[in-house]
Amino acid sequence: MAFNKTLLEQELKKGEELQVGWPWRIMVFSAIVFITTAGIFLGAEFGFKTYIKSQITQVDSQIDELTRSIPEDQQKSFLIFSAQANNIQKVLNDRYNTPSIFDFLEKNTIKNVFYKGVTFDAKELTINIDGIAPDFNTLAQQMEIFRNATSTISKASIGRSSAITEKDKSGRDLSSSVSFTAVLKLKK
Amino acid sequence: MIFFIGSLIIYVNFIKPTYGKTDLLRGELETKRQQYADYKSVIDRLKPVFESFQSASQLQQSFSSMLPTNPMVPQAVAQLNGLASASLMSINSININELAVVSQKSTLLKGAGIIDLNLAISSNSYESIKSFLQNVESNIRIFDVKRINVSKRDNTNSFVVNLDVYGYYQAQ
Repeated sequence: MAFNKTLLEQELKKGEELQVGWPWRIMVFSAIVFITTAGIFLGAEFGFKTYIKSQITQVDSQIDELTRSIPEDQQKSFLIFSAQANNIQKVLNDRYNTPSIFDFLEKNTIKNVFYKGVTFDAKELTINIDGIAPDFNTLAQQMEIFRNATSTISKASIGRSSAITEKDKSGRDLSSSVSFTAVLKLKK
Repeated sequence: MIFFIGSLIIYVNFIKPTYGKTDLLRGELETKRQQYADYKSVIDRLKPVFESFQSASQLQQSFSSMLPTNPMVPQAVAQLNGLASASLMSINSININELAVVSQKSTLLKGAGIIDLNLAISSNSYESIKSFLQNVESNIRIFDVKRINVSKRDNTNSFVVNLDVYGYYQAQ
């Protein structure tokens, strides 16, 4: 019986001890939390942050080293060379083959039609013709030929046309012809 | 209690801002690493090109003849005069204008500069004009005929040619 009583007393004593130990445990826990927080801060501020900064410096120096691996004068002359290649290609692609204009006119002109003046404008892609045809019929045929040359010409139009009559000293008609101007719009 | 409050103060005032700053630095590091990787890949690809570029001095010379690195106006005039003479034509007058450099999309590669040459030329035959134009077209330095007016002088077999030619150069 005495044994049972002692056990009961012991159990009761435990409860008292627990009540007394809680504030201490909370304090120890808070202290651990505080130390851990402080540790995290110090680690982040002086450890991780410093490490990342040193990594950034390292990568920066690697980039510098990489840039220096090709000398500056070589880079410059290479850029000029590339720009030249680029511009040469562009200029040659955009350039109109002017001699082909004359070849075209030669191949597409009726025998009795003559040109007094020809102006080719590469920016406007036009050919302005100042010519003479023996008569209006021939002029119409000539314009039809231009209009049918669809691979080169997109539009052919007459600007002005007028009959010219040459007279001899006595005023008799010697010959007549038609003076005209025409505009040919070229295809790109 | 003091420890809890202290922890809270450390978290709010120190850890949170440090975490924010560290996050930014991590972002910066990642960007720099990516940049390095990009540079390296470009340079690794360019290195063989640079090596062959250095050995292609003849090609560089050809490019510089086609598109000189400065306007070289006297050279352009001399070449056109030589081409006219070769086609039995004579230059009566030349007007020269330097035009603005053609802009490029790329900021690294410069565009081409233009010199505008207006020429008045006399010719005694139509064939000479054609031959001259052919020579201008195939000249090593690139010329581009922008406008040509050919007119026959009255009661003669001679022609007057007014020519507007662009000569190009590489802007730097």
